[in-house]
Amino acid sequence: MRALLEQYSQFVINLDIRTKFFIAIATSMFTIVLNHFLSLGFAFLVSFFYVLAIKQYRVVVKSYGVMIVICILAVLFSNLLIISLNWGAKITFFQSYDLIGFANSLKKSLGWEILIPFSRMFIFINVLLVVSLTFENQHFIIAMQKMHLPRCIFLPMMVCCRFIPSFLTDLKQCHDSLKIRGFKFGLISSLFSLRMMMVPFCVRTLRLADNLVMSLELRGIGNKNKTTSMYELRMTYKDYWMLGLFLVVLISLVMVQYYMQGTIKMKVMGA
Amino acid sequence: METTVKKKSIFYWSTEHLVIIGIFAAMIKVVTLIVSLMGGGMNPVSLFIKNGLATVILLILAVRISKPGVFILYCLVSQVVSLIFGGFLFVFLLPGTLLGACIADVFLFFVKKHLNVWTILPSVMIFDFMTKTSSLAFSFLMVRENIMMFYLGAFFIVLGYLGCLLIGIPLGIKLVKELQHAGIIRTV
Repeated sequence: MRALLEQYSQFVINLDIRTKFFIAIATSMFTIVLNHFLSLGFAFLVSFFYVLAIKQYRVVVKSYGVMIVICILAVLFSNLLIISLNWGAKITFFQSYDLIGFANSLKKSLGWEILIPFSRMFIFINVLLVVSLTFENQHFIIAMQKMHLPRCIFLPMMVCCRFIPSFLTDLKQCHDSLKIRGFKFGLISSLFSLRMMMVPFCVRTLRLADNLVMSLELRGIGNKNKTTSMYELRMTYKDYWMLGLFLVVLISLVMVQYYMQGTIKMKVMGA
Repeated sequence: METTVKKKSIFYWSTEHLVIIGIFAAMIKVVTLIVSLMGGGMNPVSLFIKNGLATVILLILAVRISKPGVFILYCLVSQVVSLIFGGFLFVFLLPGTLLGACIADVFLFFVKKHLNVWTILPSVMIFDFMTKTSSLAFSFLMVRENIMMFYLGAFFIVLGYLGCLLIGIPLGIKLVKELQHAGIIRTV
């Protein structure tokens, strides 16, 4: 059993990055259309089985925890809005508006239906975690080259992905330099520190950009001839298997939704 | 003997410009991520500041590379990176933001002969406005079963846009002037 699970895990982890991307984007688009508990539940189960393959259980639990906190906060804010609407209805200025009726209709929508948007989020999280936790910069760059993306999109994207971690360190250094000069960070002083943080950070970034451009030009980034990569990225039979399986899941989701509701339609509140 | 200098097309992007767009896209991502993490997500103050800072950096980018097409490229890069790190929900924001970027770039094209901070500023505002509008449309699509959630989302989006207007634009203009004074922004 353990060997089987290990095999399944390796199967998902070793999938081509393009397959993972395709699955994630298609799932995100398709889940928007689903609006029945059963079809969403089925989609969640399948995506949950998919995310378990990466074996990073702690990260999965943490992400679910964050999502649950966001759900609770949203419900709390919603209740706060109902209370303020009821309170506002007592003020003479608002009495010509039907605030109580509005509050009641909102209260009604806080039932089980509130779970539908959140269940969509959990499905998104599952497919996203698989991509994010198995993501390798090098593979992404090769995939973009293989997709023949134009240079004007490919180059900034590559630079952006490469520099996000470095900027976190740079910001920390700017923060430390302010601390060394004796700046105390408080609630109001933090607002004033925005400029003090932003100016050195921008200067540093623009200087970095100049250096990087010189370095890239010297390494022949503007060369129009075909270049080769150190790593090879190729779609294997595993990817085609996975895509086939994904298609089967999509068809079954359409069937579940169709039989449960009669037709797939965008259900708009009040329509 | 006559010498002719081949004029570069407006569709030509030098490596310098492309690298700067990439670096600024990364910068906006990092700054907004840090502010939101510090504020804890649904905090209105952090939301306000986060959007303001994003506008500041976008204004610096637009002034540094004041060329039609900069918003479209920034938008494409930023959305793809959001897609990878932030979730595939961002796919749905792309049409709206791309439309905003196109309008902002058309505006930039018409004012390219009189470029300064004040002529670039409306294009940044248009881009921000369209981004927020597409966020509103997307939030309606996501939580259409529960209209109340949409109103809450709308409140936060409007608050974010206020952050762009009240923090982003004044701070952005001040920062651009400082960078021009320091000789770091040379083009405008």
